Amino acid sequence: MFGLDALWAAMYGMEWYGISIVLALMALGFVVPLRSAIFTWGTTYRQMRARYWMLINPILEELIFRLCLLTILFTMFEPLSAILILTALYMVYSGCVYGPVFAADGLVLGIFFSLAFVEFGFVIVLVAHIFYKMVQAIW
Amino acid sequence: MVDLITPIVEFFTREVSLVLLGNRIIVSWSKIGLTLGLITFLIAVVLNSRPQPNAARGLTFMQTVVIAPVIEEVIFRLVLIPMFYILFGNVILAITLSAALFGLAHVVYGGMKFIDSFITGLLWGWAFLAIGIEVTILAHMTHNFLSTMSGG
Repeated sequence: MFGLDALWAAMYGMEWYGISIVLALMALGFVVPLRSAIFTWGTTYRQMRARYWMLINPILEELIFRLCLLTILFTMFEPLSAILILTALYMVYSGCVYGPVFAADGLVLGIFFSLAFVEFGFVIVLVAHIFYKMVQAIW
Repeated sequence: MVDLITPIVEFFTREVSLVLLGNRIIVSWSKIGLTLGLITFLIAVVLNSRPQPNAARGLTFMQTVVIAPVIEEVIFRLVLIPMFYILFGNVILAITLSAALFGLAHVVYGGMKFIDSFITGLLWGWAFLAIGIEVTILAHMTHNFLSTMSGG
């Protein structure tokens, strides 16, 4: 068995925090090349090391975008359309708040973490998002 | 007194068996790591005419030689290669896609960096599957150390 379902199935064998860590690392594996190659590399999270970015922002973003907005969008549209709409909004938000280069983060986190949110739920995605920003702060 | 040296030496001198160009060789994984680091560094120098300018991004020695290799190897080899294999069911494709992303992640240093990082990603992808993550981390550390020492 191969494909996205197989990927989720493989991750179900892990502890919940293991799933979060792997999700964060997978996201980073796509975001960093995107930022580097397609978007112009600008500010990195290391340059804005404040705890606010690593802890408060992920919590607020996940609460607003995933738990509230995505859940509402799911009631109005097909799942894939809802995820794409959220991703577009998240790209605009990331580009405006963090800098244009972080639209790449919006693209990957919008799609990938939304799919993970549907599969694993809110807490795992929230922890993944915090870990995602923490890794970048030391990278 | 606890002997700390012996387990460390045993760890780094653990021998692995590989088939290379039709010949079976038995060698310690650390030698392979150091050699791969040197080879990929030379490839980078030849293709770019100069080493990778890590200093240009304001990275410290610790970040360049220790932190970045560990994080990048965990992401691009340990996580992405199994992920692509599970998604597509093909080892060659998994290594190639992982190497392509690894190459793209280094385009920030210049367009030519994609080519040498892609080749490096292929070599380290093979080493990861043949031996393990420890050999690619050591190779990456060696590569970055040589870049830094040569004024990169």
